[in-house]
Parts: sequence; C-alpha cells; structure tokens
Amino acid sequence: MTGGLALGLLWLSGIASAAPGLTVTPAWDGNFVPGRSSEIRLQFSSPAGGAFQLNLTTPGWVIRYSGVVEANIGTDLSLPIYPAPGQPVQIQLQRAGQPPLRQTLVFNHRAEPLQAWVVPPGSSPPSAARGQVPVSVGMLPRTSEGYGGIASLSIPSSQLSQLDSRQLDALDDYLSGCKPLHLIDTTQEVVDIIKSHAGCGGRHIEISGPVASVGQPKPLPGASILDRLLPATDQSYPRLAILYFVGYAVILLFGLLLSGRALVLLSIPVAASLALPALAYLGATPPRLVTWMETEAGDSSARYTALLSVDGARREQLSLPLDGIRNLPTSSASSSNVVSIDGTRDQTRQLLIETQPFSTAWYLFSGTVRLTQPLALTGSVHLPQITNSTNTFTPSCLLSWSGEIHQIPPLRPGEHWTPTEQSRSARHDPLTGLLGSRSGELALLIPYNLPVEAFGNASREGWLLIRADRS
Amino acid sequence: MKAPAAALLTALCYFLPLLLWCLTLLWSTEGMTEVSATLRLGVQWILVVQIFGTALFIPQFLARHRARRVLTDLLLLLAPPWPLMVLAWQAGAVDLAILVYWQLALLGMGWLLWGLCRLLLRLPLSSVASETLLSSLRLAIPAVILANLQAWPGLGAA
Repeated sequence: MTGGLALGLLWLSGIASAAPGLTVTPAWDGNFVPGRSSEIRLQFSSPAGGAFQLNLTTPGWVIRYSGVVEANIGTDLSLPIYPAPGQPVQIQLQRAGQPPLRQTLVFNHRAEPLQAWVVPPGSSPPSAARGQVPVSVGMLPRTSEGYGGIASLSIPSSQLSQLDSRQLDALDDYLSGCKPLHLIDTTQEVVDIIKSHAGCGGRHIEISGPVASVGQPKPLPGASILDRLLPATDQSYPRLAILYFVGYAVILLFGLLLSGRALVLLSIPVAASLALPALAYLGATPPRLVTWMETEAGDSSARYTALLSVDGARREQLSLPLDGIRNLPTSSASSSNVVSIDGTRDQTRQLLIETQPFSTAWYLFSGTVRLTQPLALTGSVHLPQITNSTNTFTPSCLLSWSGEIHQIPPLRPGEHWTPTEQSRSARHDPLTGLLGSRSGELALLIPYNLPVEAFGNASREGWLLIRADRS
Repeated sequence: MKAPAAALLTALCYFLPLLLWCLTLLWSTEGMTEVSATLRLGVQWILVVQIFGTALFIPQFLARHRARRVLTDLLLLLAPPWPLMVLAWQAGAVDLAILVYWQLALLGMGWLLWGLCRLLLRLPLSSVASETLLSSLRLAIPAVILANLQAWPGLGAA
C-alpha cells in the first residue's frame, strides 16, 4: 500500500519536475548576493489560455503573481525574487484546468556585489574575473529588483537601443540610484541623455576610465535610525488589553458578591471572551511610515529609504498597496513576507501582512523617485539662498550650513530667504542629528512625503534632503 | 455559600493570581516573542490548575445528583480564564483548536469522575476500599492528562 503510494507520488513528481512548457531563467546567470534582490524570467504558454497563478517561494519571501494568458501565445514574465544561499527557489505555475507545473532553481551566491558587463552579439565574452558577470543585452533585468546585487554595469553605447521598455525602466531606476555605469564607445550626446536620467548629478557615469574607479553612493540610513523618526504612537492596544482584564476581574468579583445565580456568573466570562475581539477595533492604529529622501540641488530624482511599521491589534491579513513602489523591501521583521502582483491590473503590487495583537512588523524599502524640488538651493557655501520655486507656501524647513542648523520659516511662492544669526536653531533631536550627519557643508531639509500612492491609510512623515555640495 | 458561587470562588482563587502575573509581565515586556511566551506559559499554568481544580472539586460534584448541576459547576470552574485564552489565541501564542479541545476534555473528565465516583459508592465495598478507590481516581486521571499536556504539539512543547 505504502509502496504503491510512493510510486504514485514519484510518478506525479516526475511529471511536475519535468515542467514542459515552462522555461525559467535567473538573472546574471544565477549569481546573486545574499540579502540583495534579484530577478527570475519565466516563459510559458497555455494551449487553452485563461487565468494562471505563479508562486515563487524562497525561505524569506513568497511572490504571488496572477495573470491571464491567451491560448497558444507565449507569456514572458520577469519577477523579483530574494534567493537565499543554499536554498532553492520553488516555482509553481497553476494554469486553469491543467495540473500545476513545479520547478526548483538554485542560485549561486557570491560574497561581493557583482560587476556586470554587456557583451554585444557576435563577440565572444572575455574570461570573467571573480565577481564579474558577462551577459547579453537581452538578459539585462526588467525589474528594478533585478539590479539589487549589481555594483557596476558596463555597456557599449550601441546596445542601449536594444533595450526594451521594461529594461529601460529598470535601468532608469538603477541610474537614479547613483549606481555606477560605464559607457563603452559612446558619444557626448548619449552621455548627456544618460546623465539627465541619473541621480547624484551623473557623477557615477564613467566613459573613459575603468568602472572600478567609480565610487558607490553613500548608503542611506537604515531601519534603526529611521525607527527614531517614526510618527509617534500611543501603543493603545497593550494598555487597553491590560485595562480590560483589570475591569474584567473587578466585574467577576462583584458578580460573585452580588449574585449567586449560575447563569449570571457564567455570562460574565462568556461575554468578556466574545467582546475581546471588539477591543482590537478600539486599539487599532494605522501603519506608520517614515521616509528619508536624498537628492542634490537641480536633480530630478531622489534616492529614498522608507520604514513601514505595522502594529497589530487583531488577527488579520492586512493588504497594503505598493503603487509607485518599484522595489520590494530590502529587509523586514515579520512573520510572513508575501507580495501579491496582479498582472491583470497593470502589475499592481500588494504587501500582505499577517498581524496579531502585540506584534509589530516592519519593512524597509529603498529605491528612487522622480520629483520636483519645492525649494531651490542657490548661492554659495559662503552665502546660500533659498527660493520657493512652487506656486504654494512651503512648510518650515531646516538648513544645515557649515555645521549649524538654521530654521527656515514658511515661504511664499517666489520668496527668497538667506540665513541670519537669528535663524540659527539650538534644536537637538534625532532629526537634526541625522541632518547633521548627512548634510556635508550645505544642505536643506524639507518635510516631504514619498510622492507615491502606496501604503493605504498609513500615517506618514518624510523628509527630503537637498545637498548643495557634490560630496 | 451557594454552590455556583463556591465553584466560581475556587476558579477565581487560581485564576486571579495567574492573571495578575500575566498582566505584570505583559506590562513590562517588549516585543512579540516575549508576549507570546508569557501568554503561552500563562495558559499552560491555567490548564494545569484547571485539571487539578476539577479533580479536587469531586466531593462538591458528588453532592449533586443531576448531571446538569455538575455541568454548571464545571463551567464555573473553567470559564473565568476564557478571555485570557482568547487573547493568547489572538496573539498567536496557542492554537484555538487545542484550547477548545482541552476545555471539552476537562468537562468530559469532570463528568467521568463524577459518574465513576457515583458508581463506586453504589458498589458493596467497605468504606476504606471506597475511599482508596476514590482517591486513586482523583489522582490518576489528572496525572495521565497532565503527562500528555507537555507532549501536546503547539502547547506543551511550544
């Protein structure tokens, strides 16, 4: 009996592992850096067409993709993934009316970030040194996460025109993040276009020297620093729960003293048990989000890091939209890390969070956004000038100038402001501490929320740091 | 004191100190892991005390001749910690199915003890033999349940 079952399972798994019609290709020849995101490309078709669901499971993350495939027309998907050292990625494709296809894929982990270079078609790739990965232009990532483990990219200028729109979007995000790019055999016109899309004033674009000479951008603040800047919460659920039980004990004692009827005495714990889930609705607090963005005067993009903290008050699955967020969290502390991607609704992403009373889950996001700087920082390090370049009043801001903090008042549209002795601020808190450590000689800090629709009803606080000096 | 009040008073004697202990720990703990551990330990202790409380309450059960009155006494013995158990389940510290199972098992154990004791009392045994058998039952059944409690997945082992 057992042997028959084992044979049957073996037969079933044999079909599944063959996975005919499903082609899986990892980015960067399957090389990845632990803790960094990567990408997986999946190509398949369905004779009958219809809805399908893809699950990519790694030890830390589950990516669920749902979409629709037309009959006998191939589907080409590129999805983000977080591989783990020594752990295979489990891929399951469920198509309507067909048995599931399962496949596993093992990535090769590398200790150091990878240096990638694009090899034009027809030319043979030179022997790769340790940490270097030669790829064809068609294999460049189509998601922002695909560049997670890449330290630098070298590409012949002629190959840029071969990139499809998704690859260009991913490359645009890579450039906005001040990541090094080495352009080979290029022209000034191409360099100007690329620099206009790049963050950090385009300093990380290299056209002549070795790509290794291009520095990496300064890492943005981590979760432990952002945690101090999170919007305040009253932690109402734990307090409410304790008050609830104290009240419950008092009522029980009164019940005991005032009534000897069994039905009355029994109704107290039963009612208290049934009412407890309702307590969660009183003690629920919305998720909290704090964002720190950094850019340079005149740039049209900014790097950001955002900490999302979710305090649980009841058992539920919270679904938070990630509209406009192009990168999955770089780290998290949560009982479940599930991202759902809806291919039928313009690749809409949602973060699914399992919450429980007393629990706090947090996720750290990082990426880049396009923005218009609300205040223009001009002048020199010796005498800076701030101008409100928008059509609305700007909020009160901070200026870090030569190691001192100045308070900038709200400015009318078009109004100019220069620091004075009276504007100097003696404020000392985590925000001014962070400003001082990140600003250099001259920088402006503006209250500025991440300009995306993501994270639903989360209470938000955010700041945009505009550096004047090119440090 | 009336019988229902006596059952509830017995329950409060074991529950209120445990509740106070749990709330003190919840007030001072930070982080989900510590809260879960506190609630799980609290529920474990409550179950252990419930087992012994039920067994020790047999003399009061024997004064009842109707099963319905025994059920009422049993419910009053078990019910006070239910809200704390709901909180422990909501916080993911224990499985709801296991909590329901144990409360039903304790109700069943109470009834079984009551039935067996009444049966023994009807047998033509000497008073010494009856007392010995009664005492053995009151100790043996909880001991067996208690031994299994530690091995129960998701509660004792967690």
